[in-house]
Amino acid sequence: MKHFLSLVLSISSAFLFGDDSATIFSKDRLVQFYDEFLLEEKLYLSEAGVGSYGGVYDPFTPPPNPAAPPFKSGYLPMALVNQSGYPDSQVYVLVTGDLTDGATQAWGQVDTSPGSNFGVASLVVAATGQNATQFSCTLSQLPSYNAGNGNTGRVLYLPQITSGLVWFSIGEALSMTVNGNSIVHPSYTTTTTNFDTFEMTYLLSGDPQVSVDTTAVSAFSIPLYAYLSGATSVSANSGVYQPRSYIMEQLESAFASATESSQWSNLVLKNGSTVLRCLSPGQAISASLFDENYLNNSASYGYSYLSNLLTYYNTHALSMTVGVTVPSTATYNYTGSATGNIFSFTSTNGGPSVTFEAFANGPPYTSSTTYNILEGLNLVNPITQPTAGTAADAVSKLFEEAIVAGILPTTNTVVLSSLVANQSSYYKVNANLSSPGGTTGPWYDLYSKVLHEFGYIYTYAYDDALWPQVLLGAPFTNNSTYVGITIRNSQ
Amino acid sequence: MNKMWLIAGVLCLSVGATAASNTVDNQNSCEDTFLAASGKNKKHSPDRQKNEEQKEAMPSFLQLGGDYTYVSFKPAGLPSFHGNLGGAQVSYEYKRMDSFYGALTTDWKQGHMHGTDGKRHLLYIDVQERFGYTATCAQEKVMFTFFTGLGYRHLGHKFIPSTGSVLYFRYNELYVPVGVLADFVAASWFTLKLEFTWMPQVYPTVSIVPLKGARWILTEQLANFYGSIPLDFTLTKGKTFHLVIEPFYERWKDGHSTAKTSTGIPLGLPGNTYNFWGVNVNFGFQF
Repeated sequence: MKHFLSLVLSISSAFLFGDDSATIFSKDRLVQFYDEFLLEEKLYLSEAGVGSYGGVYDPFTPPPNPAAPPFKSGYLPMALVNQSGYPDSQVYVLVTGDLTDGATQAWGQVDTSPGSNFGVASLVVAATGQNATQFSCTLSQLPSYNAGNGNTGRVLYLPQITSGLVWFSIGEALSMTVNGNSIVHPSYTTTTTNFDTFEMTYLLSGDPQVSVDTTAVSAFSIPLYAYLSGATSVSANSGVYQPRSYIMEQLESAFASATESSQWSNLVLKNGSTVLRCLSPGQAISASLFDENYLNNSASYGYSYLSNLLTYYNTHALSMTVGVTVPSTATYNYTGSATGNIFSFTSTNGGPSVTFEAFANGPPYTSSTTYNILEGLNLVNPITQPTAGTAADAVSKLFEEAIVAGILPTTNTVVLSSLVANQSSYYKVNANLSSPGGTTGPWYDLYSKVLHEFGYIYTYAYDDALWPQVLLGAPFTNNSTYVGITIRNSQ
Repeated sequence: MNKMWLIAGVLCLSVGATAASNTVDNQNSCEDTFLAASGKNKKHSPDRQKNEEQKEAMPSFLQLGGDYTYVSFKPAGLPSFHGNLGGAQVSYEYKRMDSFYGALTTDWKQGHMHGTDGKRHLLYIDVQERFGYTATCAQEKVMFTFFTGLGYRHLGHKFIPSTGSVLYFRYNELYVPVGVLADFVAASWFTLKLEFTWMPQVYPTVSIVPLKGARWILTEQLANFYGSIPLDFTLTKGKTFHLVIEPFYERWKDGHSTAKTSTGIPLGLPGNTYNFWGVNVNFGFQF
């Protein structure tokens, strides 16, 4: 009896005065267990339509912004609301990015033990032998909080990070290795796990200090809808919120309706009947799923867009205005013309001349002008890439942006500000195309067109210029600034 | 205790005045009842004495029968379900005139309910233990029984939703029945009865499967009522065998869950409202 009483007293005191050690009883862990149990039960109820887990929501209405999560001084909280249709225990999160030096790649190691650092990610420099699975956690392992509107939120606390990527995957953690000191991202064509990424940078020396965006530059798979509190950017929200299945259906439908549907339909990557993701045309070319010479293949399509462009600008002038920052900030006006299969640009106000490499076809696809345009590689030198901010960089980018958006050929001056002011004119059949260009193709980026009908999301390498609404920026105010991401229906 | 008898006597006086035909007799009889309840002597007429002796001799009443129930079920904020239930019930009553009343009732029924959100299989089990006091008036042609006790209600749902996987809800609810029974002897072969029971809950819980191991506490619901009109036909001259046909209505509520996470996120199980209409058909044995 005496021993029994001693045991009871020991256990009771362990419950009452337990700390966060993983080896003894802990009040925090018991509370965490209770919370997880309740949330799992809540999810079951939600799935059966009895009560709600992610709040009652209209799948075709933007979700409400998550309420402010609890703060931890110095960290940027990322509030995650799971409306994916999958339980928190099946939604995986992984953080990768660079240290504040902007060069050293690192993983986000998330503390999943209840305690003062619960949910805090610390950066671990990438090294050979590591795998992303070591650094992944599920939403259910993160602290929960009341995100408002009936939503249950999870919080991830991020330290300063540059070029950060938050990876979401369903059902299993992503596997990524390290080659040298570089993290090898998963293949968009062979990975069967449903995954997507969210881009963010939190740097106290940055301007803005916090910047985030939703991206489908490589592929689209999971609808993510973002919010940045205290945003000073054009908008405080970006991303898409419609159900994944609906977006995929719309993409498939648009591709099937295209004249060259045999090419576009290949963008929707399937594993059997399961849609894995929708690839961007550039990604699809690198996987041999899309014609690497799509823009210059008259033998297949009875029309060559690039030949049409060269012919047009052999007799017309292409006026463009670009802003440069290297070697110094300036705005240059250019007049471009085509001779043979080479475009060259001459500045009328002191800018350096710019000449593109001769338009060419693959194989290999890396030699194809089509690939360079759709993948956002520089047309002056796609291999070494001119320094960002130079005239060679700016002219090539604007030229490619105008092609992807369907603006070229045009006799109007191509200037970014006028493009952005007329976003509704993007992705339409260009009236200046010679026959049969108007009835074939399309010769703009149909992938971008469809996704932009759902919301502000990057779909092309230089969409930051075409769609400035996507990038959210804000100064960092300690214990006030936070990012919200709602993971919408991903089934 | 005297206070309770006083209340019983006053109720008896007021009901007896309207229920019976002979006002003088009523007043006398209720006065007698009141006197009896107060522990004082009363006089007995030969007929009354015979009647009383007969009842005193057979204070136990055992009933067994089946039932049909139509149920309308509505979870708060969600679409309704409707369906039919069938089952059986057994009850034992000990009822002496102007004396202690005790009873044990058990009721089981089950069936299916259908709605736009899916289908539910409902299992209903109710056990009620009662004790109270029976007061008579109008020459024992009218009896009022006031009772309370303890009740246990189990409501098991197998919910097959239109989307999502099957869920089981097991409601276990303790309640305190507080009620009144009225017996109006209309003829030697027929007694009209009325029953009304208020059933405030005291400890309602629910467990949800597939995640077992937790019984979630629900808010106590007070607005639960049962009302019935048993028509008691005596089948034999000796009053030993009875046929009781009992139309009934019941309104029952399950409370919503009260559980929240440490950060205030509620479990969010909504409350339910049931409306039961039906009829019990029982065979009774008095002894």
